[in-house]
Amino acid sequence: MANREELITVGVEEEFHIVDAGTRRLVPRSGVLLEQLPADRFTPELQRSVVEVNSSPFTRLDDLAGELTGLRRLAVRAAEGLGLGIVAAGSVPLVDPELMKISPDPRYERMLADYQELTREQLICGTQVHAQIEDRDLAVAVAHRLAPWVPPLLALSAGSPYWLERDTGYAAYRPLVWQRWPTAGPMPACASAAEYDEMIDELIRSGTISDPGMIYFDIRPSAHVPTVELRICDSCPRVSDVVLIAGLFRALVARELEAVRRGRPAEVRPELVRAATWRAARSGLEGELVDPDAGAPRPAAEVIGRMVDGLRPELERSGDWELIASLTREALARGSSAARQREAFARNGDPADVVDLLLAETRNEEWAPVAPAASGVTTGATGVPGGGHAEAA
Amino acid sequence: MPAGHGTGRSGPPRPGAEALPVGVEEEFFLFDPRTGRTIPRAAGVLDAVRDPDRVQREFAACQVETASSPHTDLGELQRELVRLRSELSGAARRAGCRLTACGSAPFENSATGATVTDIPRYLRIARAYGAIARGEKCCGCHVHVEVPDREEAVQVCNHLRPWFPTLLALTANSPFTAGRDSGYASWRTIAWGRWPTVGPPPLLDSAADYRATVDALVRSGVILDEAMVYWLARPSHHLPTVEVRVADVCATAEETVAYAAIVRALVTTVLHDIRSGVPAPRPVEALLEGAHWRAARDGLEGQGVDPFTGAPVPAWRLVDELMARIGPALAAAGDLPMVTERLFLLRCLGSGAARQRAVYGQRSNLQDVVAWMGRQTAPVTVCDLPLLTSQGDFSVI
Repeated sequence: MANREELITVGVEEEFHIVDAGTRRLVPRSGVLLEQLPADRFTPELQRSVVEVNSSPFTRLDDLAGELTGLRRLAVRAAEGLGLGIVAAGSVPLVDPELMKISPDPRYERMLADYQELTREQLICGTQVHAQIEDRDLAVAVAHRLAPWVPPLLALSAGSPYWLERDTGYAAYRPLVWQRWPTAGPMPACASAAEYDEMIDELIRSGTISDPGMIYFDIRPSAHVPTVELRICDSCPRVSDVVLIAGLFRALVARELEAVRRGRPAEVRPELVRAATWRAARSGLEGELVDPDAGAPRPAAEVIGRMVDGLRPELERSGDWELIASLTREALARGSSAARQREAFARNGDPADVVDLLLAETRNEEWAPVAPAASGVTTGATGVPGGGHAEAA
Repeated sequence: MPAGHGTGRSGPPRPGAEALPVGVEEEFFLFDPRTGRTIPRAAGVLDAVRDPDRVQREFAACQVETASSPHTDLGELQRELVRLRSELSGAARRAGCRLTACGSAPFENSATGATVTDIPRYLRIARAYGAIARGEKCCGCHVHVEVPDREEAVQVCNHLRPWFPTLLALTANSPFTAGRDSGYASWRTIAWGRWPTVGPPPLLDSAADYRATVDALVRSGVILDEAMVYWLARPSHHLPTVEVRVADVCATAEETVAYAAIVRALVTTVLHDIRSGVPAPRPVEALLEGAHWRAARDGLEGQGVDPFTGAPVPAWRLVDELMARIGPALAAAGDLPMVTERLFLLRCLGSGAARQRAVYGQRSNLQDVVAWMGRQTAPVTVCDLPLLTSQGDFSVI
């Protein structure tokens, strides 16, 4: 295991939906909720039905999980006092788009004026993972080169099957809503940070976006901290899935940094990444994903298992292997959030049951069982996961 | 009709004689005249068509499509498009609905279902693509220009890329969705963007590279077949043509013909570049997408983005630049007077999207828009008149 100082730190931004505890419908109440929450951690988002929370950067995933759980607890308690509920998921089933409002902020008002229907329909929540890269040239290279790994990470988070009260047929419909923005999708290749910044300047000058925060690539160098940021994932009801994605993203970043340093070439075909991302949105963990190496459809569990096994050297180096292998097996066994949401709906045909499931999962404070994982994920792991591992408060 | 498109055998050589053959596919909605909503009646409409050769069903049962023959003389193309629109329009009336040329259905949104046409391939697509297939229907206009050499066809697509936003601005005709103004001149472009292969074609080295890329997409299982490569331009998978798929279906046949003339002249111009060894332009990818987004947002009436400099400029200036670039090819084909005149009309009357909004602005009634769009789609013939008055959806004829 590497020294703590050498490890890449990871931090997470989570977005939460605010629902009415009685009707279970999305409500534009972030203003009143945020009054009760620490302003250095919780911030408004474009839509008033969404709040965002920011974790600190951590080297240990266990610490990250502890903080995320604690922050969620704060939000859930504050919401409950107001007759509201907090849902971490890509979308919620019960929405009246007409009743939604954007937050009172000149930037958001301008986005409403510029982007119109896209802004009005931005009723979705994501999880963003930041992995630290001090060197911006490297961050630009890595953000582009990691594009092929976006689809399996999306699949792990897939939890937005419902849109405007209908089952879309997608495990994650949020990325389809999201990709309509002009800068969404795989990040183009840029030779340097200077070239990347020049591209952003051109996009702003052209009137396509109004500030660097509106670069919405699936993975991008952060606009405000020295990190690369994974933006494709749905907000996850279970903290364990957030930790899993954060751990995998850190390992991917570490491996790609090494590849860049060694001068290993990488060819990314954006049109194929887009196609594979679409497949992941459609399938989640339940169908097939496009295998990033072979380019052919394979069962999701196989693609994800191979990704995790392939990252074993980096995960062992960061001391995460056992945790990540165990979380992966659990995630695959449990199925995507989308599948669980559909199960909940199927019981009585009532979308309120879906919201109740998401509320309960978001509220759950037991995040991560840690089981010994001597073997790989694809190679028939032993060790049934042990009991709940209470969060370190 | 521009001079020079006459059919007499004597006189000076016809300017259109060496022009590339061009064919047009147009997709249309079928609307219920009482509600303004789409109505799944394609089968009934096609049964009522007297000459079914060039009309076909589309993915959704509320849509129909026409495919013209290839023409070098665009006057003939126009006659065929008008005839096809009139025939279909009459058949639609006999089937109790209205043929309408607009890119989006004003009352419907991404959650609205649609009856899928009962053809195995369409049913497979519906199963595979869920909400993006069932929801928001879109009607586009595809122009085919004959470029038989596949290597040249691939290069033409590379060279066309910077011009897609301008072609889109010229044809934007879908501002309404979900019962309200989307804020976009071409909401179809935004809605259609959810499909996995929509967007500018990637820069491709060769016909072999095209083949390998398409094969990789099919092998990935993301698209079911080559026909599902929905790039804004592509070498056609079944014709010896380059197929340009940028446009919303145009409100009138006259606009479609002007657009087809522009596309043909652009293809002719870039073919000349290719044969002279000019490499494909390489605008910054993100700017190209930004420019396309801006064209969908503003159409002809607002800003565009110069894909090379990234500068915001009035959309019409981009049209002027396009015209400067293709003027010689338009003139050589004999299309310059026709295109100039129709662009002048667009400038005076507004784009398809602007006209829809103007109608809406009169009474804030989307049903007015639907009825009015139906009237633009095809000229009304005398035999339709009794039906019209009995249906009562036209206050003025």
